[in-house]
Amino acid sequence: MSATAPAPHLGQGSFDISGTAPIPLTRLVGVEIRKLVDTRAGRWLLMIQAGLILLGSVIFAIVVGRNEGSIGLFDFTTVAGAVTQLLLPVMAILAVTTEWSQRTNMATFTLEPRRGRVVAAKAAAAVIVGLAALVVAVAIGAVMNGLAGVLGADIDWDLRGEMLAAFALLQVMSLLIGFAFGTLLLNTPAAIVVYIAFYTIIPGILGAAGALMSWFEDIRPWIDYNTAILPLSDFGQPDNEMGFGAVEWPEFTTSVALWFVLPLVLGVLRMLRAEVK
Amino acid sequence: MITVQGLTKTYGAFTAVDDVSFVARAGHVTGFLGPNGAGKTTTMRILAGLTRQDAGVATVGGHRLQDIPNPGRHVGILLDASAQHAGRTGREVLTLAAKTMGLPDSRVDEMLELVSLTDTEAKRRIRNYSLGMRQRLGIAHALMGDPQVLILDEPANGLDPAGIRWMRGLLRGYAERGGAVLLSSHLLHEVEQIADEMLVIGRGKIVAAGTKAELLASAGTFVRALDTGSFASALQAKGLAVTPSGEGLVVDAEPQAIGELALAVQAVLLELRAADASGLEDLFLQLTADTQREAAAAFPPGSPYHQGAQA
Repeated sequence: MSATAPAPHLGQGSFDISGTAPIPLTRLVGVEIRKLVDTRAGRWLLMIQAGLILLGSVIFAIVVGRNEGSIGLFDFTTVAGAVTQLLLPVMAILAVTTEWSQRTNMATFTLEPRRGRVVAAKAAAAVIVGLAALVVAVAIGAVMNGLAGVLGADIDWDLRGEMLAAFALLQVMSLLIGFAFGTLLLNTPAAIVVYIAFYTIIPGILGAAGALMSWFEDIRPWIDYNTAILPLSDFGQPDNEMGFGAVEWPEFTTSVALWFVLPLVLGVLRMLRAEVK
Repeated sequence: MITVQGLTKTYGAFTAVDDVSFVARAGHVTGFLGPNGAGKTTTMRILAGLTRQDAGVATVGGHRLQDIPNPGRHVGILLDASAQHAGRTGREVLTLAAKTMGLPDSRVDEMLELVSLTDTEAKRRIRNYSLGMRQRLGIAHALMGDPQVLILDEPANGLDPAGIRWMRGLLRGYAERGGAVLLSSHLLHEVEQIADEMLVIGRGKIVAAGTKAELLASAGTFVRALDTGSFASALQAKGLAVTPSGEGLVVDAEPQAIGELALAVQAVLLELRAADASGLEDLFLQLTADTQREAAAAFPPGSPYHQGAQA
């Protein structure tokens, strides 16, 4: 109690705000990155992610190595991708929904009432942490590829730039779709369930509907995100069939608009208007 | 410093804030007093830009909060001390605020010292904090940016008597240095101790405003006579409103008028003074009577919990 309350500047009915600089977006992004890792929940999510990738890769390396099979670095990024495609979106969802469930948005939005900037900073923070997680994932893959070689596998280090770019794009897209669901639902369990349904159940439903109704089969490519991204997710095929060159960009665009842009726009509108209690 | 004009907010058929206007001036602690659900929090949330009003204007320092760049440097806000992530430490919560506002980390230590949270306490997670500790943390959060205006919703809630005394000193000192404070409470004695100007709100409307002395003047005069019963009749014969209060009466008149009447009717007065703290309590209950949730006699006469039973 030895310190005193800060002395406010004397003023009558109003104060001068012309000398106050707005909060730079970079600072907001920095704060949002810190929020992603300053709770046990946030740290555990990243550690579990790394642990699962490590576990899956070790098993993979041992099995292939012992059987003297052939394996490449890209196979390990595929293992990592199976984990990150599920957990990075969960991280992005939590970045948004935790503020509403823990009601920290009261503090967040009174320190930066321009909520759109907060949403943008959150998206940027989630992408940055997501990319860092991918770097770790590829590093784990490199170590495990080496291990497989030591164990007797015929290994391939050829991880072309295009493969890496496609891998990163897919993962970041998944993360952003999770983020969009988070802004739309503002509720952690609901957003996670919807994302998992999108990831696991929706492709099957779309496929079944297409098989049963021929007219639906015609529009399915335009709305089926998982089909649209397929050329980016498997580089084990001859080059001309896979990779960026094989993506049907018009269909890719419409399905991304449906599953990412639409929920994001609705979600951001909701967040901008929502009453914070 | 805080100007609210014609502020209205409805939720469906329910009007939470009904044409509320007031000013909270620099250099003063303005108490915002009213029963639960009277509209205090909604008004403060509108000031904080968290709720949108249907009509009216709410400005801080002449600006809407949304128009103030880096508003934490101008307006300190504490709306709910429990609205913090349970898994963060107190120090981390303050660090996030300091970083958002662009302040050095040393500011966090200054604020922790100001609200008397020890280093050990600051390293604990907020789920382990008492309400009083959360309030202290919230006040540190609000003062972090060296603001000119403080908006505090029920800040004394959960503080022990020593804590309330500490906060009174803190806020008085802050106001004396030119800051404006708006603080709400549903407890009269809290506001009475801390605030020098009061706004009484009930069912979304401001029902009284002024300094404690002004409000008390309108509360009337307390008088006790040797024969209170017959003196009451004499007062009523003069057309004055008389309310029994303890062993005496509260009369809606100036002490001088009552003294002159006592002389005229040769009544012996034992007490004659402005209706005080209890008078303010009565005034508060009366001003908000039709807005209270519970009728005064929730327990039937004869029950040990009946209001009259304790006397």
